[in-house]
Amino acid sequence: MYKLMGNKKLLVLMVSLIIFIALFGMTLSGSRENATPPERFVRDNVAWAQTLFNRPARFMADLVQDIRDIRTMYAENKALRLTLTQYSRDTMKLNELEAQNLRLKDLLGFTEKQKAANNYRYHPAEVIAYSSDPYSKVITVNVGARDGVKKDMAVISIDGLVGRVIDASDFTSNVQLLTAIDSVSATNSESDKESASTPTKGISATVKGKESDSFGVVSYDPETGMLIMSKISPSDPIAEGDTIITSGIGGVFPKGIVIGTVKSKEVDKLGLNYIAYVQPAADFIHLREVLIVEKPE
Amino acid sequence: MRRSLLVSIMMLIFLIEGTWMNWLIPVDWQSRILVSPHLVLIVILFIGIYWNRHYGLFFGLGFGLLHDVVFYGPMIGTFCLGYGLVGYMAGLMPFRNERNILTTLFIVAAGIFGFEWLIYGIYRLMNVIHTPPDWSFLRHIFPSIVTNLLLALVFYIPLRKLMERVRAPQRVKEQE
Repeated sequence: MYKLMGNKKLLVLMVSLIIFIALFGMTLSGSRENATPPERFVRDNVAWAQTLFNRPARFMADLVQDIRDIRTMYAENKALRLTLTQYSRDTMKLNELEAQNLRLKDLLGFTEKQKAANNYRYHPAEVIAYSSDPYSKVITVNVGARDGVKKDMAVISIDGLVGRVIDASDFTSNVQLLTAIDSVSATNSESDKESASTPTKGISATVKGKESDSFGVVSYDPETGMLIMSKISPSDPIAEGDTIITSGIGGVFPKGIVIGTVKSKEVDKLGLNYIAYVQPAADFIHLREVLIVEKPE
Repeated sequence: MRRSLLVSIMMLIFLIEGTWMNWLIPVDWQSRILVSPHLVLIVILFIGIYWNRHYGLFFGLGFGLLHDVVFYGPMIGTFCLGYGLVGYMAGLMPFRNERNILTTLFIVAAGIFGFEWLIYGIYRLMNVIHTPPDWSFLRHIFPSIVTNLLLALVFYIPLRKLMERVRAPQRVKEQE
């Protein structure tokens, strides 16, 4: 007679379930600081092998891209030349403003620490691998703790904010994309203490040009595929088409990284505050080079 | 010796899954709908079907843990539990004695279906995601099953050859 499960098997199943649930609880990324040495060792070694696989993939992708580029070359060249003239004009202005800024800071008696506050260091990194887990959305990049990368640093591409470092090994680090920051737990994170330990924390943001009046918390809404900026107060001047940037209030993320543009604004579920739907500036799917931003201590 | 050959082949597949698959899957399938390639899981299911459930379990636990450590995101253990359980279940399927392309693909589809729901359930339970189940099914689980079934179909012949060549050393007794 076919019996589905003997007593012994049932016991094994139950014990292993308990072990797994304990494992989930212990390794929740919000509740622990750093990965253990064996994990780091495995990750670094696998990443080394993955870079070997990446080389031909990159070569092929470049080839396809080159062929595609030939057609758009002329128009692009024209546009680039235009931006270049604008750029040189801006640089001139920037140099002047920077010198003025420095002079004024001296005049006002800024401390060395305050002066260095906006001196970010950028670590260029190559994306090595993508997780096949549809929910965690983790990518691995090839700089790590040895290069000065730490947990929770901001990761950007040339278009805008991409995500944050979730854990740094010695030579590689894992990056959680912005699209994994779940909107429900992110919006609750400040009100209740419990979900402060969940792995997804929202990013504090503001509007470019209205930095002093605007504030909200950015997270991702998988159902619309857009970012949601929540906790916007009714007096906030935020409007459609505004550029959303990081506010730097959280202390970990630097100020002024572009997140996206506002698509629409509406009253939130409770009717007290507003939420805004934000089209992300960065492309999260085919990332190749990213920059990890290190804030000065 | 033979098992170590299989382990190294699976290691290669694991590396390919992380590095190449993202470029091979069209952009559209990763934005409007979300397709996740599970090449390693397909091989684990084949091991469960063509060898026996114990090997499915061990390979599943091992490579699941590797995936969890390498792509450490919210927590460790989800893929370990999922791969292990699904690999074991594949070996329990009743009609695995008449292995042909149809039954094999059916088990692969069922395995991926079970696996996707399992990790969805775990993440929902641990407060990592909050998408409703019907939405997740339509946008992500169903497209993933179809895509992975296609991948399994493409690799059916080579995988079957591999399984028959690298046979399980001894037959573990089957009756309960």
